Amino acid sequence: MAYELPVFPWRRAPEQDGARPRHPVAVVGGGLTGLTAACALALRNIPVVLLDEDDTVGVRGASSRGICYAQRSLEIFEQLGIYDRIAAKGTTWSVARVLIGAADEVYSYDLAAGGTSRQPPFINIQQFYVEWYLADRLAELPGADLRWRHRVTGARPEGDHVLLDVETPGGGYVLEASWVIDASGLASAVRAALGVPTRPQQGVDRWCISDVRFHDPVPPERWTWVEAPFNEGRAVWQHQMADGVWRMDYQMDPDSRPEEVATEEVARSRLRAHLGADTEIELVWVGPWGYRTHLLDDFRCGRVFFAGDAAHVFSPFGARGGNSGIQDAENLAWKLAAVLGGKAPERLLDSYNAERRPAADFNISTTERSARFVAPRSPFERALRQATLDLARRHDFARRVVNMGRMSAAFAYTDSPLTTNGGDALPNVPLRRGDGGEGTLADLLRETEMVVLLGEGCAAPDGVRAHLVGTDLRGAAIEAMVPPSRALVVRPDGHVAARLDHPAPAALREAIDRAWGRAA
Amino acid sequence: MKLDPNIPDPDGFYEAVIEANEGRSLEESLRFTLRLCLLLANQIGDQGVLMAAVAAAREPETTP
Repeated sequence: MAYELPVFPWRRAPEQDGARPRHPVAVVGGGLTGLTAACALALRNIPVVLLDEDDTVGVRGASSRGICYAQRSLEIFEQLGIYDRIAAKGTTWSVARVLIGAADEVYSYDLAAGGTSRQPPFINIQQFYVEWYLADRLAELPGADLRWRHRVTGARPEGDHVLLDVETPGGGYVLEASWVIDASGLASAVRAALGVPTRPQQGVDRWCISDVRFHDPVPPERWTWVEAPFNEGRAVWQHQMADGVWRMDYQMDPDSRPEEVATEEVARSRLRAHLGADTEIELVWVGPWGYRTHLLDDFRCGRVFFAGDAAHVFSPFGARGGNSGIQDAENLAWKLAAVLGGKAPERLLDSYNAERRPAADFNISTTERSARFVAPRSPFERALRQATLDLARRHDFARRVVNMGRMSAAFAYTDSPLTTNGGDALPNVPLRRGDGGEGTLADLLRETEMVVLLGEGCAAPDGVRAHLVGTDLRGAAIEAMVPPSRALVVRPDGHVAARLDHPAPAALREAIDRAWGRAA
Repeated sequence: MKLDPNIPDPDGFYEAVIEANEGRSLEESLRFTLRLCLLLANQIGDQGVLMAAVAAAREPETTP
């Protein structure tokens, strides 16, 4: 089965016919991060030009990329208007099981337990579908200028703007933008041109993905084997995505040769051992891979912001790569829109690095801990893991120590300069309006930019539009979130800027100003 | 972290650990001891005390 990907046409840019418009924002790279950023800007009525070197979605010859989209990403996709397509196409799941022997369950958990968001904990879908839906959505939005096969080869800061050198099949040109979002990945030409250093590190653990279809009823759950007997006692991941395709990811001998473990014959024999010799299988894609890690010291260089893989790369445990790029994009988009729209001072943009770099740092340490559990590096580490698994079979406390990846969740901006008290992301809870209309928190975030939710007994500062919870807005989840005498200031990205008890109107105003970056 | 005597019967504990490891290879004893370590860590249930205990366990190597 081969996927049929869309082909987007190359078009001449106005710059190639002598025009020299000043674009408010240029986004370099049409992957998850770049497309999300462009969509989030265009929806806020900011004209945006997106430059991508390719003419399709996904990465050529490597259809397997990220597959797990976390609740926070799904909530952002709801805001952008592509969630319904993703939900219809992908596999919604919430149950994860960890196994030791062939089918010897150590423990399982249901991520949906206690959740209040309209979006599920996870949907699995091939990354190129998400990119495809984002590209389709962007094409509908006025002010979005998508340029396929426009490859950025250089970047030069020029006072109040940046010049990008662009190459196309019809010749090159120079593009002028006030702000640039570099979402062009680990091998970013923009970063190289600006001389922003990074130090990528290569991991030693080796893996081989086999994306496969087979006709055997298996529940759409995330199964991870710590020591699979059918993989020489090494780890295995089993996960379903769209089109009935399963992602099987096998941990290899660190000394194995990638070109040998990824041949079709070897892949088929591994799958036979895993699924049974009689199971009919259809191979979709096979590819070896290893970890890489990199983290920029600063996600901003003048008028250029680095987002997604251009800023950080970590090993895939817990699905933190694509999901964090989507959060980078959302974080940056509302701030750029506020500054360009004259609602906030330029200082607001400093908070992008202040919030997203700690998030990436956290993701790196979290994924490194998982990698270390999954691939013990010494006889001692192996013994410690064995001792943990021995106890995990019997005791709940030890199951919490088993670390086959901590699933991606929104990072809380607790220490951000914009945060008065809070920083956590609110789930997209359902609510009822005073007039009887049904909606979710996402609708409020679309309507007003800084959402003020007041519990009973709180008063809004003069001129500030606020929602009275229990009166204007009803529903168990929102009423639990905003009990009487509490007030919340919620940012456009759904993160709590302030959670205050018995606030005076002046304190609320101060918190709102701080959230816009207006605080001294 | 408690560093004053707090084990009610130190000799009894010492003996119980020895008996539990009789007939084990060093590797098996390591695995036993790590299980014991995890069980005790869960009993303590205080991250600050656990970190202080890890530091205290390193001390005999770092200070002569």
